[in-house]
Amino acid sequence: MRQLRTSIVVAIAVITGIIVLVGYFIELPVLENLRIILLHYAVIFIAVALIVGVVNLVQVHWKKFQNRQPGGVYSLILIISLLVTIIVVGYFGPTSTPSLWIFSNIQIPVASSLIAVLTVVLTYTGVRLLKRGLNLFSLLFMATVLIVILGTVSFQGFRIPGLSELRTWITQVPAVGGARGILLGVALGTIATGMRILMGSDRPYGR
Amino acid sequence: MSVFDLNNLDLLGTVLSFGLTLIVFSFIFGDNLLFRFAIHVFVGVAAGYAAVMTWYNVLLPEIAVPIIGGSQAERFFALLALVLSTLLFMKAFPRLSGWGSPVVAYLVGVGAATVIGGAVLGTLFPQVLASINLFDFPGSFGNSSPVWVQISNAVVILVGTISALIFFHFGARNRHDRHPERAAWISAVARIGQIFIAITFGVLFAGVYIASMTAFVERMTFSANFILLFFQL
Amino acid sequence: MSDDIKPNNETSPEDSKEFHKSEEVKKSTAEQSFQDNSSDNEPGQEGKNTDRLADAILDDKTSDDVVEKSPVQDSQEDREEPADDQSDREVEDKDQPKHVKGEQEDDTSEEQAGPLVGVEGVLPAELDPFFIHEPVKRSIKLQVTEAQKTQALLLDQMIKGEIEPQPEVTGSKSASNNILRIGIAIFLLVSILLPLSTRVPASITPPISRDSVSANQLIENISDGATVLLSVDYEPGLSAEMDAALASVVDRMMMKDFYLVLVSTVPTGPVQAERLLMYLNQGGGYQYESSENYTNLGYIPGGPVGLLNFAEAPRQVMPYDLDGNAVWYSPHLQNISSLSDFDLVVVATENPDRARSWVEQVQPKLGNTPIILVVSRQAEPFVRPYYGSEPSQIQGLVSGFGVGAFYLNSNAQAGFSSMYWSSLNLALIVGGLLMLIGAVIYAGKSLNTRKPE
Repeated sequence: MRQLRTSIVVAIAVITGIIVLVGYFIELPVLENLRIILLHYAVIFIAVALIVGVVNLVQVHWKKFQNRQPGGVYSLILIISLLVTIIVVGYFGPTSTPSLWIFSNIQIPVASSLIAVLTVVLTYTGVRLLKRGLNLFSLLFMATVLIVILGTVSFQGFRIPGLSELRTWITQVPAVGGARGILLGVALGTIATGMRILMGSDRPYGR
Repeated sequence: MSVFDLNNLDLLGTVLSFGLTLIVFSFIFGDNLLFRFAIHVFVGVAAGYAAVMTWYNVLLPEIAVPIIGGSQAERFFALLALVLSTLLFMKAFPRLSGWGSPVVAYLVGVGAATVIGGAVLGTLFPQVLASINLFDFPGSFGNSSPVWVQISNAVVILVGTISALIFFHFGARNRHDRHPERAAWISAVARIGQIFIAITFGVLFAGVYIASMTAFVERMTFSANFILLFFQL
Repeated sequence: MSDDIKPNNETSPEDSKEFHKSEEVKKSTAEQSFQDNSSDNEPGQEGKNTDRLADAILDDKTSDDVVEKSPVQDSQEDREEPADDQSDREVEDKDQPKHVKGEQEDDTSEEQAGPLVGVEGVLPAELDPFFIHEPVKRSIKLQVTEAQKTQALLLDQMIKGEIEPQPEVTGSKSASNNILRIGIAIFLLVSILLPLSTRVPASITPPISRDSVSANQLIENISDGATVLLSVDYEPGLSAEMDAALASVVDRMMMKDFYLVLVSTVPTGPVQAERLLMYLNQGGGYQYESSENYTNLGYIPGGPVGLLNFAEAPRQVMPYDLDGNAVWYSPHLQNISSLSDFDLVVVATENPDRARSWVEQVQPKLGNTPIILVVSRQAEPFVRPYYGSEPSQIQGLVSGFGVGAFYLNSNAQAGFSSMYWSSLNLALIVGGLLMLIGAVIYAGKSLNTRKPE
C-alpha cells in the first residue's frame, strides 16, 4: 500500500514535470493548453502554501506564548501585528491609504534601517578582511572592492583620474567573465538537480 | 472626521517611523529588547501583508469568486483547486501532513521543469552563444573602441567564463594513501577561475555596500529632517 | 555474501541481485527494529547515527558488522510518515523473518497462575532467560562506487573547515571589536550628516553612464501614449536606492504619457508601485490616476512558475486589477493578448535571482518588445552578462544611481537621487578609506609576522 502511494506521488511529480518541460521545446496547441492549466494550478497551490506558512508561523508563536517560553511576549506581539495588518489591509484594500500608511511607516523604516545597519557591519568586515589571511585572492577581492566604491563617487566634482574608467572596465569585462561562468555553473547545477527530480531519484516531497 | 485623518496620521506615522528607525539603529550597540520588539512587529506586518495579497490576487479570483458565481466549468476548476488546496493545507498539521504530499510532489515537478526550461533556454544556450559571439565584431563593446581593445576584452571575458566554470568542477581522482585531488590542468585553470571569481565577488560586495549605504543615507536624511521639523515646531 | 563494500565493477550480476535481495530483507528488519526501539532512542542518538553513517561511507576500514538499533535513513523516512501508515507496516511486518526464538508462541500463551489465569498475551512478571538474546547484527555500509567514495571524501574535506566551531572571542577582544564597530558607525554618521548640515548644494547629479543613455534613448524612441508593462519587484529594505533609480525612469515614461500596467512578484510590490506613482504625482506635477493612466494588476505568486504562467496567458492569470475590475476589456488593454503586444517592459528589482527569472521565463516570449531592467547595484554583476551581448537578452540596463542621463530631459523634480547624492558620496569615500586603512594595517601586520618565519 505504502509502495503504491509512493509510486503515485513520484508519478505525479514526474508526469507534470515532463509535460511542462516538453512545452518549452515542442509547440503543440494541446500541450500548451495543458501546460497553462498545470501552471495555473501550481500558482494557486503556491499561494496556498504561502498561507500555510503564515498559519504555521502563528501556530509556532502561539505555542511559544502559551508555554511561556523565553521571548513569548514577542511572539504575542508578532501575532497581534499580523492580525491587525490582515484586518486593516484586508478591509480597506491593499493599496488603500491605511495600507500605504502601514507600509510607509512600519515596513519601510524597519526594513531600510536593517539594511542601513548592514552598512556598519560591512564596513567593519571590510576593515578587518585582511586580518584573516593575506593571499592573492583576498588582496584582489579587497582591491576590487575599493576600486569599485571609490570609482563610483566624486567629491565636489573631483575624481581620481583613471579610477572611474578602471571601475567601468572591471565591472564590464573581468566581472562579466566571472559572473557568466558562475551563471553557467548555476544553470548546469539547476538542470542536474531538476533532472534528478524529474527522474524520481530525488524526492523532496515526502511519500 | 475620518479615523484616518491625513494630518494627524501623517504626524503619527512620521513619529512612528522615526522611533522604529532609532530602535533598529540601537542594534549597533548590541541586541536589546526594543530591537526585538521592532523585528517581531515587522515580521508580523510582512506576513499579514503577504497573506492578504495572496487572498486578493489568487484565492479570491481563482477559488472564491468562481465557486460562488462562475460557470459550470469554472466551478469545477475552482472546486478541484479547493480540494487539492485543502490537502496542501494539511501540511500545516503534522499528523495530517502526509495528505499534502501529492500536491507538494505536483509543485516540485512543475517547479523543477520550469527552472530546467528557463536555465536551458534563458541562460545556458544564450550565454554560451554570447561567449562564442564575443569575437563577432563590432560586438559587445560598441564601435568606439579600437579592435585590439575589443579583442583583448573578449579574450578576458572568455577566459574568465571558462575558468570560473571549471572552478566549479569537483571531480577528483582517488590516490592511494593520499587525499583525492583534481587533475593538474583542472587545478591550474581553476586557480585562474578563482581570480575572476574574486573580482566578481569584489564587485558584488561593493554593490551590496553601495546599496546598503544608500539606505543608511536615506534613513539618516529622514531622521535629520524629522529632528529639524520637530525643533521648528 | 560478505557485507563489505564492493565497487560496482567488481560485482557480478548474480552477486549484485543477491546483494540487493539481502539488503532489502535487512532494510525491512531494520524498520521493524526501529519500531521496537524508537521509544528508547535518545535525542542525541540521531546525530550519532548520522556520524556512523558518514563513517560507513567514508571509511573503508570500518568494522564489517555493526550492531545497529535504528538505521538513520529508515528512521528519517519513518518520522515523516503519518500515523495511518502504522497499519500498512504491520501488514508488511508479517512477512519478515523472525529472529527471536519462541516470540510468536509466547504472545498467544495463556497465563498459568495468579489473578490473570487463563488470559492470553500477558506480559511476563519476570524476565525469561530465553528472551534475552544478542542484538541482531546488521551492516550499515552502503553500496557505493570508488568514484562516489572519492567525491564524498572531497566534499567532506570541503565542509569540514566550515562546520568547525570558531574559537570564542575573549572579553577584551569582544570589547575592542565593539569599540571599532561603534567608531565606524560614528564616522559614517558624521560623513552623512555633514553635507546635510552644511547645506551643500545638490547640484552634483549622478554621473551619466552609457547604459542609462541607451535606456533613455530606448524610451525616447517609443511613441507617446504607448502601453508599458512595469514590474515593481523590490523589497521595502532597498526602496531608497530602487525608488531613486526607478523614479527617474518612470518620470520619463510619465512625461511621454505612457499607459502603465503594474505587476509585481513581491507581495509588497503593488503598494510600493502605488507609493512611487503618488510621489511622482506630487513631485512631478502629473495627474496619473488608476484606470485612466495606469492599472495595478497586483501580485504574481510563485516566482519563476508564476512568471511563466503570466507570460503565457496574462489575461487568464491576472483577469482583474486590485479593485476587482476586469481591466483587459478597457480601451487601453483590449488589443493586448500576450506580453509581446506591450510596447515596452520595465522590470525593477534588487534581487539577481528575480532578474534572472524575468530573463529566463518572460524575455523569450516578448518577441520584438524591448525589456529594460532597473536593478540595484548589488544585482548588477549577475545581470550584466545578459546585457550588451549577442544575442542581447535585455535591451536596457539602469543600475542604482546610474540614472544621470534621465536628468537631461526630465524636469529634475523626480530627484530622489539629488537629495542623497552629496551625503552618499562623502559616506562612500569615508567607508572606502576606512577599509583601505584597515587593509594596509592588517596587510602590514601579516607581512611582519611572516618575515620571522
